[in-house]
Amino acid sequence: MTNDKSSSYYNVISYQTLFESLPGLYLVLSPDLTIVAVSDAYLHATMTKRREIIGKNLFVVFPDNPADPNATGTINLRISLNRVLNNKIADTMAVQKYDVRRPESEGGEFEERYWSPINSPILNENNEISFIIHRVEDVTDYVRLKQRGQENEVINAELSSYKEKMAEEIYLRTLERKKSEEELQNREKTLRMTNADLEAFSYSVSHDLRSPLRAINGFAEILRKRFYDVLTEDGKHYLDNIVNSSKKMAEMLDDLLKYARLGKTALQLTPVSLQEIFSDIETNFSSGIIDSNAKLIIPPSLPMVYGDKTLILQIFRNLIENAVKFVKPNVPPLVKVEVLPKDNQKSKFITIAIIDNGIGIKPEFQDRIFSVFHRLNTQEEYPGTGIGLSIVKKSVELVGGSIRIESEHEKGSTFYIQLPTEPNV
Amino acid sequence: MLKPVTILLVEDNTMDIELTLDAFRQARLANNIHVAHDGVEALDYLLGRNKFNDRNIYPLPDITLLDLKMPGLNGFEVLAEMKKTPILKRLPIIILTSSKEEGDRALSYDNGANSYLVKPVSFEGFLEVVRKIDDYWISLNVGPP
Repeated sequence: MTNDKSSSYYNVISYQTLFESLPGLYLVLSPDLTIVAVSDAYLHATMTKRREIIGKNLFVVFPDNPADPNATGTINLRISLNRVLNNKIADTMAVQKYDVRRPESEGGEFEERYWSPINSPILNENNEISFIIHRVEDVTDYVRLKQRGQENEVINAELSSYKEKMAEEIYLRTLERKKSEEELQNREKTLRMTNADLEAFSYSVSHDLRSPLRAINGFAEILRKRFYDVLTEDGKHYLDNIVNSSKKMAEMLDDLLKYARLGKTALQLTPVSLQEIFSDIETNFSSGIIDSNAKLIIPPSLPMVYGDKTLILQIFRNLIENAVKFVKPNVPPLVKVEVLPKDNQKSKFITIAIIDNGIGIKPEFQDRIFSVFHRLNTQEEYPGTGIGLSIVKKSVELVGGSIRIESEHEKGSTFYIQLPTEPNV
Repeated sequence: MLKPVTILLVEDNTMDIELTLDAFRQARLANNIHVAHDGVEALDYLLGRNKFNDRNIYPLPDITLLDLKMPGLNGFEVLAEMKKTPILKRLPIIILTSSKEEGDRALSYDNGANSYLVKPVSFEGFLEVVRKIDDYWISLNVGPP
């Protein structure tokens, strides 16, 4: 203030105005923590008015947010100010959460705020504290940004760990899938082997069992021929049982062999005339080979199918023989053959129905009748090996067709045989 | 018949041997049947080796009934060996087996079998087969020189 210019400024400038207009956030406290001065910026930041806070205790004006049970703003500030009062040096506080209350006119609610405060003492010539300057920076936005950043980091971390987990899972799933595929392949291989084994087994069984069976039957027959007279009635009966059983077993072995051999022989796939097939079968009928009382009704024209002629003949012969066989005693067998209309003209299959007036099959047994050696009747009622329909089904499947049955117990059965009409592409 | 017919039965199963011999007896053909119990013994007989070295007792058979499944040398091997041997290659050979298997049938004919007969399980059926062997192979068929 050595020149006029500066002294003139000095006269003009009000230090109070200067202080209050500082861009920073300042609050001046007396040692008993009464607010004595405040900058406009501070008022603005804390949504307070000068005349409402000057002369009041700091903590009365700025209490803790009652809604925040974890609020530490006042206590931390109090500790810091005490430190300043005691040590008479500036104290920089860590960033504080210190919520401020909106004016009553705006609802009086607390708003979340973060502050970075520095409390500095102003000492008099006696080195006593006359005032404390409480300077803060509103770091709410920064904290929020940071929080969001942390959140993002958390999210990122979560995401990346999720990603890792996913990658791991995908890897594991791939492994699992590979494993299950391998298992499937192995199972398929085993199954294929099992099938081959089974065929080889049934084949060798039916072969190798024939030899001892031939011995049983042979010697039983010799006994019956040469020693029958010396046997008692019981002895004769038992011997007859042995002979009959061995014959029965021979038939079963023959059929089992027939079944096992199906599919081992190369198929001769050609167009096959059902007309020819059925006239063949009809010849057997008229010559009384099947049953003199049986009546077979065949439509005037029958379509061509595609398959192995021997198998197709076997399929229909077996079915018709069955139809004739499984009738109630004294009922003349009536077998009707029908060609079902195609579902659509493009269908590469044709369905033939074999309708009989036989004993029929109860619904609960209908799915079993195609199983090997599955008989529904006693040997005495209807003799047979119980393998005929298995042979039929396997034959139908070998030529690429399918078979199903509709039957009403004691009323009759209808077998539907679907056969291809052209080579399978 | 001008001279007795000699039959060689090559069969390892003793039950089958007994039944076959019985069937031949019933068909009154048992006059000159010799039995070889496996492939090695069959070749010994056919080649007049070891205990079969007397052709007066063990003459070359007019027909050979040959089983396929035997321990040691099997039927196919006996068959192949016979076809390679000049004195044996023309002898009529009838395969008599339980097997209807395609492979067995093919291999039998490939190796020069003259006939392939499947043994029926029933003795009556077997008797019938034996009678037909007599009818055809012994009575009707004209053998090699």
